[in-house]
Amino acid sequence: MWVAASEMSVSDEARIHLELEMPGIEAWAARHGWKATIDLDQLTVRAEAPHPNATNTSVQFIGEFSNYRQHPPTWKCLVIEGGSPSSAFPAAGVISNGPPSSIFHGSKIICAPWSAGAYAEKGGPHGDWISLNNWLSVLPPHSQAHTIADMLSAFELHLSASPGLIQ
Amino acid sequence: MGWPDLHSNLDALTSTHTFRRAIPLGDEIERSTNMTTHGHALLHLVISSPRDPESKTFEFPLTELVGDAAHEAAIAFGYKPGTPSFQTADHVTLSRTISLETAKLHDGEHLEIVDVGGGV
Repeated sequence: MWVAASEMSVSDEARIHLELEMPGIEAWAARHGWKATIDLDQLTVRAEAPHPNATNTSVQFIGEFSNYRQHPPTWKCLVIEGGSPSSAFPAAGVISNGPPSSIFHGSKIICAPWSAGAYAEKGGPHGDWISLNNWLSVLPPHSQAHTIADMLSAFELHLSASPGLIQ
Repeated sequence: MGWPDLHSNLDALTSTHTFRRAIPLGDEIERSTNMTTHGHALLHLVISSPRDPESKTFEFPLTELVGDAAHEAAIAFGYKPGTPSFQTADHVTLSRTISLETAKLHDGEHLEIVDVGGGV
């Protein structure tokens, strides 16, 4: 049965977008050797990779997409050191020819227009990005990622520059 | 805002650009000549984007700047303007301000689009 767009709930809409993006997410994860799990019931995405500069440490990025794409996802970062979750967070770093500044904020938030936690209305530093509804209109040179696979690509790029962890 | 049409710009790209052409994957690449009618040496690149499971093959003049080629490829994949560059299979991010020739890319090389916009 077809349901008019006006009758869909926000979470229905989010689920449809997640489903549409699944092939891109899975293909990107396979190309880059990341583990990616998409939960269509919980509307979450988990993506995990080893930290390139911290021994025996992996980093999980956990995105909550209940209001996607009206709002950007809420990303959290879970660092697993020696098999145990810790309160650490990837340290900011820069790489040659890469982004001039990191998405890994010293206050342990993912600081990019595609991360809800970066916005002032969510307690983040960016009042200048106006509101969560405006996330697709925040201009370069800020990191641009309008699909989930684009976000995972940004995580990988910035993680590759991270020199270690902050506690 | 609607879902981005990942392929909407492909036709425009192929029809309006003399020196560069997006070639759908699987099409035979004509390698018998590597020159355009204007005498510019061409480079074929197989480019992936994070959002699309399928890669596309492009041809660019060797003198093209990495940033311009990456922008062209990004548009073909449905990206809005950003700060795109290419990353090699060895995860080396290329400077956007050098030419494809200076980047020492080889014909048929696989690259992936990365956005090098900043955070914080």
